[in-house]
Amino acid sequence: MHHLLSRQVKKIFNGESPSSPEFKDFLEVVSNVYNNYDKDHNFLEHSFDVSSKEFQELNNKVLQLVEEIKIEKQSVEKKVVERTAELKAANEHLVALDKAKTEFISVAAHQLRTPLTAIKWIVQLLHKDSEINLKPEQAKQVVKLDEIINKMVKLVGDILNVSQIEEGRFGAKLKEQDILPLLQNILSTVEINAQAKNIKLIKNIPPSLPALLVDEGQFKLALGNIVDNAVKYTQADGQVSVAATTTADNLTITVMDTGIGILPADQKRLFDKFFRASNALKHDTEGTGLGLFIALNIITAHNGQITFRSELNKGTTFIITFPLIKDNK
Amino acid sequence: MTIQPKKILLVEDDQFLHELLYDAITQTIGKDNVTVELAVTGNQAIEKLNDLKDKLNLILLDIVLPDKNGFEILEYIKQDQTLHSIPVIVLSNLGQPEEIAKAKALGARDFMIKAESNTSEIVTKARAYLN
Repeated sequence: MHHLLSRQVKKIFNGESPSSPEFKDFLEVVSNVYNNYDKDHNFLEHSFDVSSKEFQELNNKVLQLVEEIKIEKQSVEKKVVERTAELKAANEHLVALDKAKTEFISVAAHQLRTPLTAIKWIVQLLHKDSEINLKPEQAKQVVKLDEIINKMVKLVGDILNVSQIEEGRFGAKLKEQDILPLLQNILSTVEINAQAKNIKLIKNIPPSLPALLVDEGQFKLALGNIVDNAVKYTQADGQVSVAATTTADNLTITVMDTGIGILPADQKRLFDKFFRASNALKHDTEGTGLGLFIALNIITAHNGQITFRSELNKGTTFIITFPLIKDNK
Repeated sequence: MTIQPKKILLVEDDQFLHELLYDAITQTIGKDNVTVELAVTGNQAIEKLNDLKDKLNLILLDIVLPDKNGFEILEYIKQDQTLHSIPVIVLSNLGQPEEIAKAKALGARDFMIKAESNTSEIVTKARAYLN
């Protein structure tokens, strides 16, 4: 019998507890309840004891982990600071190198222009005298020489323009300009090349056009490059048409040719610096891949847009849009 | 009564270029109608400007020069009461928008990029200012 129950029975019955079998059975049941209670109690106490220990161990592990993470974090932070400083220094070095490269190109191009000028002017003198003093064959060579010099002058000019764009110094000086004479000037220059290839140059230009805010030199350069390309990449007996239309907000110039077109794979890189489409390279080896890069930068600086659509061996159409001056609306 | 020939000051440090320009100007306009004074450095240009002053009818000015550059010479001209009314055509192989704007802000009437111009175009422009 459970010791507590035994004491209680002695106390209640003064040592003379009933001896009937029913009472003994009853006491046994109660004693079992007491014993079970003790077992449960001991088990519970043991459980609490174990949990507390485990909790302590776990807590210590967590604290240790937190400390390790803290150390790791500090180490990573230090590495990030060091790496950032390294990257910053490397970037500054690259920027300085790029600036030096651009400045070198700019100076070299300027220096190239002086001897080119002398050659160009001497060739012009020869050209002037060729009818009198040169044999027809020599006169032809002088004409060719003149063309070559002009190409070199254009190339040096393009390189200078690109270096200025990259230096952020190619600022457009926008002022209100009558567009019609500028377009006519561009077309009259291109017409000579078109005639030489028997390309029909169609001009759909209205007799009057609204004035735009443009930098005259840059506008002529950008549009000149695009129309020039149209003639350059159109085979003999083809057709180039230049049209100007106005809406309430914009002036749109469309340059459409029946030329070699642009491969779909090349189209997304068309305005990249020095990029030349693969079929363009086969057609004309002398281009620089700078014309459209310069044109895009100029048109963007004029708050304009340039898009194109092209089909291989059928032709390309460039659409250039400039905003009208608000007063002109 | 004889008509006094017009006087041009040509400021150009490259020997080939000043010889070619000198020939183009004197042959086209005629030695009886024009005389060309030459300066090959910035300081020489200032000296010539001071010597010739109101006798000058036109200045053809390069920008990249020894001693003093063309922009400094333009400033000098602009500040001088006699010189500032003489037309200046800049003839340079610079020619980016900011350089052209700077020259014009300093009083240059025209800016021609030498490598992109013919001597005949330069002479035509010079003649227009002389008349």
